[in-house]
Amino acid sequence: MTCPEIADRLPDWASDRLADTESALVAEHLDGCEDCSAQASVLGTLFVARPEAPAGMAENIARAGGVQAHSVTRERVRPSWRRPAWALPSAAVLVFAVGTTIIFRDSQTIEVASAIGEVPVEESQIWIANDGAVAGAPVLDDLSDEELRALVEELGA
Amino acid sequence: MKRNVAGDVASSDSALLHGAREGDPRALDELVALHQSSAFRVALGILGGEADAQDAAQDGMLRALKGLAGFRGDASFRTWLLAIVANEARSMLRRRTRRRECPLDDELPGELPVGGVAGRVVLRAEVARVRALLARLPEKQRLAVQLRVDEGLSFREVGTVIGSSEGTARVNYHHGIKRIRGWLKE
Ligand SMILES: [Zn+2]
Repeated sequence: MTCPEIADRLPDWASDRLADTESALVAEHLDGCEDCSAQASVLGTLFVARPEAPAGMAENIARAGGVQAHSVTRERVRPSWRRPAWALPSAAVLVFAVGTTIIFRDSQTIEVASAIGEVPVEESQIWIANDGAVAGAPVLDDLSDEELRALVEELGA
Repeated sequence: MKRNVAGDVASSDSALLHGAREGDPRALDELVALHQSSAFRVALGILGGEADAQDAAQDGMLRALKGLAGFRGDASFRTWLLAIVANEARSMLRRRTRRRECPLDDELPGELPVGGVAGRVVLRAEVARVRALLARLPEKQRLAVQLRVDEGLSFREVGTVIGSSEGTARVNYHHGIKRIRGWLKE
């Protein structure tokens, strides 16, 4: 397959939606093509970071379904910072190969491959910020005191 | 395990739709559970704010479920539903005058070692940043990328939701991805 043909299929590959035979063909191309490989990384990252519906949304719809549509907005449950709305999907794996290649596959753990070894990352420790303040404050938010201390030491070292 | 979202969703949809049209509340609940996150993401892509997106997604889904009789099966149920949610979000946007802009944190700790706690923080920031860049794209590109990547829609289906041809949907998608990659290199 050519690069443009691969590019059309990459979203399905990065989200593991391709059939095995086609997936193998794409993987083979990615092995030898840096550009498509970099694109696959971006798509994989986008996919695992996709937001989920806020808690309570289905209940609101069900409640309003029998009555009148307008009531739904008044019964809105406002999602808070750390609601599952922005948690990563449960069956996700990210493999970061130093700064560039991210390969996304189904599994229960997240691994970070780096020059100094592999670091398993609990999914609960990865947070996507609320769209109102992306990638800023919440990044350090859910670290424990111990982790924050360790971070300060690492940075000082 | 393969995701095969599109196929699985389509086959379960047709059974559920049958039940939903008969007024089976369990079928309606399942349809909502299956599609609520897609509806929310589409609305979020248009409106930019989580609370507004939730309102638009809820109202759009309700409108669709109440108008099931109008679904003729020309498109997949999901595509039809997402087009309705997108319309709902766009009319809310018109009432709001402008999209809520998302502040971006461009100061990434790029030089940190990838490992230990620092590595995890970098990872989180990086994942969040890639997703945040999506918000910078013009609406059609943003939706094309979202619908193709998050929802696994075909370019033709993407076109149905964003109101364009299949070819335009493809072009919007590729331009969007190219721009995100360009920003990541900055
Ligand atoms: Zn290539």
